[in-house]
Amino acid sequence: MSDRFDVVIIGAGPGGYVAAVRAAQLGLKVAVVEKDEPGGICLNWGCIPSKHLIHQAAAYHALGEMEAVGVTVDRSGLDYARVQAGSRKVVKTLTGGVAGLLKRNGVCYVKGHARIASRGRVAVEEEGTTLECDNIIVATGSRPMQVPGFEFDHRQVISSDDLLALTCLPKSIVVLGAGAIGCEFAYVLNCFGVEITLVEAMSHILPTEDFEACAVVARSFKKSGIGIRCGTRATGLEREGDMVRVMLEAGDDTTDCVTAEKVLVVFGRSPITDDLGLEEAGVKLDARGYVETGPFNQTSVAGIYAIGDITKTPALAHVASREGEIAVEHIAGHEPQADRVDPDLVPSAIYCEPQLAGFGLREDQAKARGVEFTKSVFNYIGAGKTIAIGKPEGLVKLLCDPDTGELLGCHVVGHDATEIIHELLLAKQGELLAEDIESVIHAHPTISEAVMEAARGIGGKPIHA
Amino acid sequence: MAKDYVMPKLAMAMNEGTIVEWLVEDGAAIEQGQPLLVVETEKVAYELEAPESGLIRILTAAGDTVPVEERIAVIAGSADELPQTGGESEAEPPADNIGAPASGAAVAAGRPGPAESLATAGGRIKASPLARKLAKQYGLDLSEITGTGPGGRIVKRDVLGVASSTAAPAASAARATGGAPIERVRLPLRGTPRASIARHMLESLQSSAQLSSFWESDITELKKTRQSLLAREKQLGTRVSVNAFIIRAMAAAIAEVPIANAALVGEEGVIYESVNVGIAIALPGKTQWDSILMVPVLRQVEKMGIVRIDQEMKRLVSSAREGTLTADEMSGSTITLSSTAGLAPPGAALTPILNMPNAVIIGPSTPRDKFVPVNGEAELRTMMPVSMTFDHRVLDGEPAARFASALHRFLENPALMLA
Ligand SMILES: Cc1cc2nc3c(=O)[nH]c(=O)nc-3n(C[C@H](O)[C@H](O)[C@H](O)COP(=O)(O)OP(=O)(O)OC[C@H]3O[C@@H](n4cnc5c(N)ncnc54)[C@H](O)[C@@H]3O)c2cc1C
Repeated sequence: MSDRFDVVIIGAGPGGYVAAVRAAQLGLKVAVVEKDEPGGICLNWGCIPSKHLIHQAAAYHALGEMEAVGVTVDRSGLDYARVQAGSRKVVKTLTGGVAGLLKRNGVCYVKGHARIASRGRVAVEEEGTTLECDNIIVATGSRPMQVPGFEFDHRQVISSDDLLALTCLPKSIVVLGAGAIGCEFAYVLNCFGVEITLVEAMSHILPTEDFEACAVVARSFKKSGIGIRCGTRATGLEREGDMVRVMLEAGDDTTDCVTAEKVLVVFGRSPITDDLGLEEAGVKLDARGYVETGPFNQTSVAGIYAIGDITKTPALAHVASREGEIAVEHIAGHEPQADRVDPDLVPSAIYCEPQLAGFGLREDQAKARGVEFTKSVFNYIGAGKTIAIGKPEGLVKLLCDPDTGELLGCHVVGHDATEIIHELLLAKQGELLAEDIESVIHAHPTISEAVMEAARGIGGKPIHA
Repeated sequence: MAKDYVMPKLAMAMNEGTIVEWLVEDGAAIEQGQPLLVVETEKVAYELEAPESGLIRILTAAGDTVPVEERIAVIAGSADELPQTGGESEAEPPADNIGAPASGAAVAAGRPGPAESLATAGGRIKASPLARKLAKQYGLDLSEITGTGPGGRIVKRDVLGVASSTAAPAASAARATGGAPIERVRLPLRGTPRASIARHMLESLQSSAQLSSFWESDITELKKTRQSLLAREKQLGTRVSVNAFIIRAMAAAIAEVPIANAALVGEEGVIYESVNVGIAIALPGKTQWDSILMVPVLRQVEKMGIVRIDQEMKRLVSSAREGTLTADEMSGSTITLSSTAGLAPPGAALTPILNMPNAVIIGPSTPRDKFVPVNGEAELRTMMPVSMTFDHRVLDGEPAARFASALHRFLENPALMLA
């Protein structure tokens, strides 16, 4: 059979398209089926448009800094429809890039809704065709989580997708959920002058990050006027004409409410594993619909792999891509460096200002698990560069093994944190110790000097503290 | 020049291999292509050939499980080059590493031969800073450790792998001030039999639907029958054990309820014709702190009488002790027996973990004498607690209960099982 594929990939997000390109590079005959645009959530409705907005928001906000040198900038002409148009243009450029990449590599791109007909057979609805293959990689990603009582009407109660499609800004928004997505949007909207209330049920914003790093973001948010309500649960909504009222319940059982033009519900995301024929094919899902995966991202059915947001690893584009590579290399009979993504080596990255990035153990986890650690915190303000460029808020926090100096967890918050983290990540993966980082001559003045100083703090004392 | 012979990577997912048997003697002269040893991965046993001729020094005993790329023997051209037995050859020049091609066995296509694992480039040992520090703490010599990191670099896992074969002193005892408990010893898992035991146990619980039940069987009659066989010990050639009766009873109960002798294979339930009983036995571990669990398999029990069962079982147990079990003798079970009789307190009930993919495991424990009503009179009888776990994916409560009742009936009426 000439048109039999070595592998058919469902979904062309950062998981699926990277897997497809890698498969083609390894000489496999590969098809990718995508019902929407190439690039998935990440390029179309996630990482890329949100980062574009953050960049625009920061640039707009930074205009105010010029006043200190006597330049008065008139910021009144903001046309959000053009901000939005710019963001769609960026998306188009990048999705076009992905389409070209797939084509250049000889990947067969099929548009349509795919369903697993049986092992080795993927039916594409619109096309009315069935693709025969030896292996299937499922990379269908996730969608905004629907929570009863907070159903999206896409007008007043909106998801991240809706927010990224807005052409004009409301006066006020309540953001429910202070995870990465909630915080990034809160930052953007606040820069553009929208009145923001950020509501989080856990005790601090960005609950999956180190609390000391999060406190820096929270302080900055509060200073810039974002209302933060932590330890507070939203219990329901009431629509009142053009406004929505959100009922809140604090930990001590006191209740109150906030009212705004719109409510952005970003409680989390749900894996897209329904309407795919997964369970019929025998693929095991957990109670919440995530696909159970083993070594090399294999599912419970031989020849079917699952990667990206539909698995239980962190829902991040770079995790999806690496999982795609691991699965494809396994299919091709190559040996990937590791048989799965090690969550301790996955950097998280949140791009609001101040940025936050980290990996590995958090201090609260270490305490809960009884892991002994030596901790060193170096404040951004100790690195001259941060004062020179007016970004003194931030810190580098390292948790190390007290015996060996092995890096157990690293957390950076502040300007450019999402770039700076990689020095530490490389050190962790290469098994370098705090003392090795300390001994590297860092250029002056850079923010990375704060990393060197923090490393110094593990075995001895930083110079600038 | 002497060359290291390392545990080869025989399958994509292979991280460690168990040396089932050396087919040559330590110190023997070997010929290239001669069968050298049998290595077992999780599923398959491979017979490996000598990559070249020479004299062999075996460094790792049969029964040991070692990580891939770890040195298990040295092949030398002459007796002088052969390292001393047992002694760690500090003065040895670094040995070249030769790959071990698998004979007949399918090596994953497209994979290059075992990576060059020599971590010494130009006399300098390539090791990560963390690996160096750990080696120092464990008192290990880096030149004795094979690197598996990028470019053959020695990394943390390599050091821990070696450290695990010699239980290291608790490195952190000194730092246990404050609230932390004081440690006695650390037993790294990686590369030890415990790693695969741990994995199997967890996988079993995570991948199947296990349900346990408990009951007591009156084995007073069984003991009497056994006594009569013991009286003929000489003639029978063995001291028939209670376990042999239990195994016979399991086979008899399976004949009545065949689905107890089954497994879920892929998407199919398979009921087996042969009754292959896996017998869980505990062996002393590599260190005084640890133990090893092995499950040799007694095949086609349905065709055996009690005496045969007893003899075969004892042969398997002693092979396990000596580390001479073959790969065949360690795989293919269809049901498992895991007895804690004599170890656990009298009357103990357990929840045995299924030996995947078997659907049933039987766990008898230490009997105790009890007054029980017999024909309206209190009589002192020997009651043996029996625990059973079954995989509810394969069989339901109804057949499982029937199987339990049949087993109970045979244990209480040994004459029936001999029928
Ligand atoms: C607002 C926002 C901001 C984010 N920012 C970041 C960030 O900064 N950094 C980061 O790492 N991550 C970020 N993420 C997360 C990131 O977008 C996801 O982790 C990533 O997209 C997951 O990739 P994936 O390949 O698993 O799935 P997706 O990107 O969701 O792609 C799945 C694709 O499959 C297609 N599909 C689904 N079902 C079918 C079917 N049956 N047939 C055919 N096609 C189908 C979908 O149309 C989609 O294109 C963000 C997410 C959001 C929502």
